[in-house]
Amino acid sequence: MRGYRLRWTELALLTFGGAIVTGGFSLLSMAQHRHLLQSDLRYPGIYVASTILLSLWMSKFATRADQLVFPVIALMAGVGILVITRLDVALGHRQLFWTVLGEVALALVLVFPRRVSTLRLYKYSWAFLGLLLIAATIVAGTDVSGSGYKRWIGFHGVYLQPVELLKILMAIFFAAYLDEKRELLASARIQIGPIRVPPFQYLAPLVVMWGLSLLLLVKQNDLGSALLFLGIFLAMIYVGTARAIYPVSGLLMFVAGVFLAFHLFSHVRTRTELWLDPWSRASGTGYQVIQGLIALGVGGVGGQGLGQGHPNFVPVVTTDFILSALGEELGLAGVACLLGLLIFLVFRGLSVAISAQDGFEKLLAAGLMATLAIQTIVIVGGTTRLMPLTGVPLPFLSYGGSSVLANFVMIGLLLKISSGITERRD
Amino acid sequence: MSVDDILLLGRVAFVVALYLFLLALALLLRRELRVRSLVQGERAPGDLLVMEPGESGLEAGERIPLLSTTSVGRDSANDIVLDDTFISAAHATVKWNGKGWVLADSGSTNGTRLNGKDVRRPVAMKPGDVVEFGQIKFKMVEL
Amino acid sequence: MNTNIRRLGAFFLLVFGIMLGGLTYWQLIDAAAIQARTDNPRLQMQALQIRRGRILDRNGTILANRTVDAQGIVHRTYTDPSLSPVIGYDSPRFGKSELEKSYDAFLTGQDVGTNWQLQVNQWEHKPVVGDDVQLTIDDRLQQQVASILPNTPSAAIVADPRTGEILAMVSKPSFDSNQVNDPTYWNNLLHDTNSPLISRPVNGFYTPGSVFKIITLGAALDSNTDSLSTSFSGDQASGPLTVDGHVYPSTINNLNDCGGRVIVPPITLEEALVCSDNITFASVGLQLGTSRFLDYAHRFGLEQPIPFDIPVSISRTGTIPDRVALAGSSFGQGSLYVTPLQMLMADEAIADGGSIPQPALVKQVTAPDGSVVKQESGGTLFSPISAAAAAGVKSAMTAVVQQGTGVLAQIPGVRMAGKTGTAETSDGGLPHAWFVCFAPTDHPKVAVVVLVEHGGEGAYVAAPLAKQIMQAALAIAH
Repeated sequence: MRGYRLRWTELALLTFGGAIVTGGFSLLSMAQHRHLLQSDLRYPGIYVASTILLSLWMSKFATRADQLVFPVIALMAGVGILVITRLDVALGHRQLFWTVLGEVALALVLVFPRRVSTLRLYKYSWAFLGLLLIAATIVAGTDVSGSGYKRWIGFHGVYLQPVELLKILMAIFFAAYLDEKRELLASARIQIGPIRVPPFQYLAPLVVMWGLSLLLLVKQNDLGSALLFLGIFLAMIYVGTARAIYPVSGLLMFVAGVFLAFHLFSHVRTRTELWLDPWSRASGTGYQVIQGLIALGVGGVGGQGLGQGHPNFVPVVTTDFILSALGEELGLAGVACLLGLLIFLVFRGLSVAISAQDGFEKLLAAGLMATLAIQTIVIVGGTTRLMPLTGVPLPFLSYGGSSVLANFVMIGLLLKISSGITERRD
Repeated sequence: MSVDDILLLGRVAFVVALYLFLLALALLLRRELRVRSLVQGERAPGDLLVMEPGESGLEAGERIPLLSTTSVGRDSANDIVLDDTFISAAHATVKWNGKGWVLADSGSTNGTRLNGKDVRRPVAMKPGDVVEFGQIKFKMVEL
Repeated sequence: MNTNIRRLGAFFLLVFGIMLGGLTYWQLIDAAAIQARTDNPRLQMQALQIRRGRILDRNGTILANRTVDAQGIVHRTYTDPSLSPVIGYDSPRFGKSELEKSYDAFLTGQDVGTNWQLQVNQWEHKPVVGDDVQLTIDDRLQQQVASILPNTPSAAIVADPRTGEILAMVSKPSFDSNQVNDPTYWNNLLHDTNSPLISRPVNGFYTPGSVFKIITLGAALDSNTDSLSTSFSGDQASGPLTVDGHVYPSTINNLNDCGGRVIVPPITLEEALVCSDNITFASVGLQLGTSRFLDYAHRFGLEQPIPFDIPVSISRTGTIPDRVALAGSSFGQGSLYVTPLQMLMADEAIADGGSIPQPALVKQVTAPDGSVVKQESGGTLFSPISAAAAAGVKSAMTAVVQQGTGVLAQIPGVRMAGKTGTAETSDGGLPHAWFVCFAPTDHPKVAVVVLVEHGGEGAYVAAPLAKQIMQAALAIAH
């Protein structure tokens, strides 16, 4: 294990994915200039080289790690860079930069800490750090996007969204907390009438989470993140305890909270009304949603082709509405395949969780996958009007430095967990 | 072929390639499962359904796949590892001979029972039977 | 825990399935409806890029062309401003009119079905190429007619009475379709008291005056209430005629100057047409009766929607409440309001043996691949009177040109039939000058209607214009 072993499957898949992305860049160049501009291939070149390098790094430092996970996210990240470049060249280059940085972060996570389970020792520190980040953002954050809410933190032109880091910290904290308390949560009961509920002291984190998500919702108008956190927590507590009462009661409490917020805060009300009827507000607040839907319709089944549609008619198309751009240019066929890649990743991650021997690692792997899955569901559901629109990035595909970094770190943790399993199996 | 034709073909090829990638993943997954089952022995057409997990960490209702020869015991070298104080290091084996099932005790301390009766010598077993290793109870079920 | 993880996976798979369902709804099931929304900015862009079909005259001369600028946006140019009232305009700002509007589906290529090449073109985002529309108009004739007509409000139509094909259609004053997109120009057109935006040949309403007598005469002959040789005398011929207390004044002065001849009653019905005697026609109308008079007016096309390639106003008989109004209407006054096209159709009915051919402006529509998409339908629109009745009117109209009020329309060597009209208007100006004619009498190839608003006497103003137009038309007639 300490030797150097090339990860052939991974390398082969990365080459395949790299060829797809490079092909996409070639098509884009031809669509835009009517011939292939060689200089346009520099960026996919950098991208392919960086993924190969990371695979080589892993053949030294994570020999046994799963070989299918990284090629899948690399391909999605590549398609993301491609589509963002098509929408805004400068932004595409920045996304490439963030992706490479994300790969570096992933490489670092693979070597430090030595064991994933070390992380559980500092669980309250992670939770505290997370809460601190939120507090700092609310107090001293910056409103980069002009949304009217301070969701960024940083200085000198580099801004990060703490929410992205927070989701990893919370996943680690929940995994550690649940692994320690799950027996108690699962078994201990207090009888209230016909319903048996767990003792209230163990419900504290549930209440804290509920409060946190509502805080995010109200103070930051960030319903997406609120839903995401609640979702991660409920998924993890379900995995840990197998008791449906937790997710069900949590969801009910959240719905109650949203209902309350609907009556107390106008922006929540506006958002709900917008979801139910964007049509009568087509030139106002509903413009974005409807233009997003039109782009999807224009894409149809086969798509308009890379660089051949007009997705830039959709506002904030590079982040929240990247799905509309993908839908317009790659069509239902392309988007369905990307969703297929995402669900494959989630399933692969969950099978890592199943194989993991350690309770903390199991919960963490499941929590990380739940994060990706819920995030996808929230934004795809929002774009397609299956649920109210809340701005969260589509994992690996939307533009966003913080999001890319966080996702790569999450995959780093997953790979580390998977690498531990095979080690023990041998 | 005009640039437009190339773009149209490329457009189709791009999406097709994405699907081929997904297909490649599926094929690799299948190969991996096959390799794993080769390493672990041939899969036999039956499962053990957990009825009473004891201290094993298994869960009631969980199905444990049986191989052509499945060793049961506390030692991690066994095919089914039962981490329970009443289980011996090598506790019992379940065999599939192509037609039927045979249950044999491997000289365990706390014994193996089939439908409540102690298994001293290898005995035939059929789906629906209840098998007990120490305090852990399974039901034999068909795949 | 593993069971729970599996259940979580199954849950995610289910929800992903629902998401895919949502995408399928918008990208497949509702795709056509959502992208057809007017707030889809791509539609405006695509509309500007359609290679709009050209409009050609019957000889292939380009009348409306397309040019594509560097941004791929298509611009329309028109070569003959005299055809603006026929072709209309295609302005991104003020919309479309006339043929540009009625043939828009062809010109923008929407009519085409799906064949493989078109489908590939659409996939490859190649701009749609519209169909070419070929007109029945002969632009050489069109330009000559435009120069013959005075620059005062007037209208003329030249047609082939055998087929109903319009060879030239001029409306004055006109406008330049090339400049319509300029708001100042447009605003001036809107406020011009001479209404240049009205296509007079099909949408102008005029009292017909004596040209209407060919309809009254046709009705009388067809219903056998009178024959050409029926004799009228006394107050039945020259008046003054008193109808239910209303006195129509004597027309004896007109009869004393009929194409330079002096006619003394009793007069025949033919002579009444030749000299355009109002009193005689009032008598004929009174003999017909209101319901029969209206019936024949309708058979000739009044009060009927006229199917045509551009919108046509419905000519009106007005109400005929009593015999006084019937008498007036019979010689073309009263509350009759007709379009020049209506009078052309009456003229054609006489020329064509009692039937009116379907008027046509569009000869055929050709797809970019050369295939003919639509062809002039042809056929008969109305058959108001018998061939015998038409022949009777024809001989009387021939006499009009030979020795009556239409002598100024005579063309040496050509037998022509015609009828003058001098329509009194209620606004006090000079009367409208009309002339309808066709030639050659025996095998008519060309039918002409000329109208000069407030031009004066049809015999002196419209007939000479019709003569020039007929000469030009016969020179190129087939």
